[in-house]
Amino acid sequence: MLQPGGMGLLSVFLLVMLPFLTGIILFSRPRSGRSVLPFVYLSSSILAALMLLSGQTFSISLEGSFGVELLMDQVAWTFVLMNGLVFLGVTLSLENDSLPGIAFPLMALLHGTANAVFMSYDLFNVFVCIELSGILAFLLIRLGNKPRQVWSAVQYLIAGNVGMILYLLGCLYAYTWSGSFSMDTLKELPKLPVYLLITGLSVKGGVFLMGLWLPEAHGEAESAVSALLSGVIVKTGIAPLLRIASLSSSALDVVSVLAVLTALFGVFYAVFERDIKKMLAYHTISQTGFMLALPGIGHLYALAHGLFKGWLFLSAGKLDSRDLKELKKRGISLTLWIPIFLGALAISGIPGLGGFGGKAMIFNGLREWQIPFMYIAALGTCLSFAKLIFIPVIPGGQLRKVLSTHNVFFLVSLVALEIMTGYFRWSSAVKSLLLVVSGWAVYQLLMRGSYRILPKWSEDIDHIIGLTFLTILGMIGVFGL
Amino acid sequence: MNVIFIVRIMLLSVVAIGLAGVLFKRNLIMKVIAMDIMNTGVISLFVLSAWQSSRAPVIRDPSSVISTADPVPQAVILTAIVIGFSILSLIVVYVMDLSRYFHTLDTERIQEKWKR
Repeated sequence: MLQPGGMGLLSVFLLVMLPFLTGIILFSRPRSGRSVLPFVYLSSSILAALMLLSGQTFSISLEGSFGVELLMDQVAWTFVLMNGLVFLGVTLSLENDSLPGIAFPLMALLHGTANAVFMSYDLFNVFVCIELSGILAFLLIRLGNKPRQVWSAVQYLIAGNVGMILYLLGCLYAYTWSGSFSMDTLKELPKLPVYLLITGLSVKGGVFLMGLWLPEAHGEAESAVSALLSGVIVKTGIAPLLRIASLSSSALDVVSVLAVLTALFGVFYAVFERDIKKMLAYHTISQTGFMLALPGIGHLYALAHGLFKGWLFLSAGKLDSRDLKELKKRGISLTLWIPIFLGALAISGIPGLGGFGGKAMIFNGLREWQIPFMYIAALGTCLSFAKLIFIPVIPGGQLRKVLSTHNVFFLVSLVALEIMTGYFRWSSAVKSLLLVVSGWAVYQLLMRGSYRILPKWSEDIDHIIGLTFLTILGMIGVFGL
Repeated sequence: MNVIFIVRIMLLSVVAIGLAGVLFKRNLIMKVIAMDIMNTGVISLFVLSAWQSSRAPVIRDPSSVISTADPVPQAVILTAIVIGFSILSLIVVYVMDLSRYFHTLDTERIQEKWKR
């Protein structure tokens, strides 16, 4: 039997070093990644699932004092499990030439980097890993080599880098305050550095106005890449944010307000959006609000979100048009509609499909003033997904096609997640069913086919950075120094 | 009012100038350079913070020196410098690509291409 430290080092090797090594070797033969990488992802998901079930927690410090601190607790394992499952599902869905070969080594490196972010308990290590994941995500966004993809990738990198510079400033403040980069110092940290850290991570995590690079980048990238970005890369910002919010009480106040604003704001844009991929991207923004609303539970919902949002992006990528109005005119075949329908039910919080348990626990733990706003956001989610559910369906087609490997994989893991979460209350189930039904009713009565073009000036790169800066000032103004 | 305080204020204003540059310059190259200025400001703040530290120095005979530097921020900031450099070079390469597609580096004009 291995010592606890030994087991911790072994998991670092399996979760971080193995993907890196595989990625570097794959650069010489990228195409073989399709058959090799599933095993890497599978090993990290199995390890994480075993550790979650046995409830083990490791804390190791690499190489003595001032070393990198890693903490592998329930939160970290949940995120690692999500990382493994989403990457596995996306790789299973890839056909022979749906992505250029270079995608495979990049994906392997990204997988390892994301694992490293989820495990770190060290402010500076989080900075390094998030910057690395930013570079890799940048290269993935522009894979299709279309001018607009290059532009949105450049926007993403500029916004993300400015955010991380602010984060670095926060790190410096934390270090001079306490003489250590460990996240333990967050407990007594003054408010200003906490605001800087939160802002930097929010830019990466697609929170509120700081995350407005997200619809453009996630909407324009190839579908498989969008699935990875929304499923995993956004969470490299969310996971440290959840940690910070659970450690520092001043951060908790800020994050709970940001969460509500994010959820409402994202859903508002999603309801009126006409482009299906952009709509999903706006929902990613609004769902991060749900995750952050209750930092103690958020990681469970993040796991569910990674799975169903990845699935939705993959299914949306198979449609022949991105324009919802066009799709409504032409209809879609049943084989394409079924996965979208199931994903839409999961994100709306129907019991049994993964999204229910996490969402219900979040709703039961919310602060008093948050509750009405979060219900509005949940209703908006159902309303907006009614747009996809009520697309006319062309019957026929081979139903066997629905049972493709990745569809089965995502469905099985969502149902398994619901069972593993093991949370069920009749009251919550009835509430979520009511929300879904009323969302659909509102859609049928008021919304049919009306798409408004909302002003999008806030998504220009200058405005994203300006709004980021204004948000810091807003935090100082509302919560004080 | 000591020297460190003045230098710190100056470096913070370098960061602010960089931020203003990213915000208000419309040319992409200028934006990227402004981002680098911002980064440099933060890096210099790290170096400055090492100088004023009053922790036990990492030397045999502390009585023989007047002031020492804290090695941790300096060691750590090397990584940040490398990251900043690599991101900068990556962006510049793709800005070059963009200028080939659009024949302009003006962000607003590039964004206008997709306005509905």
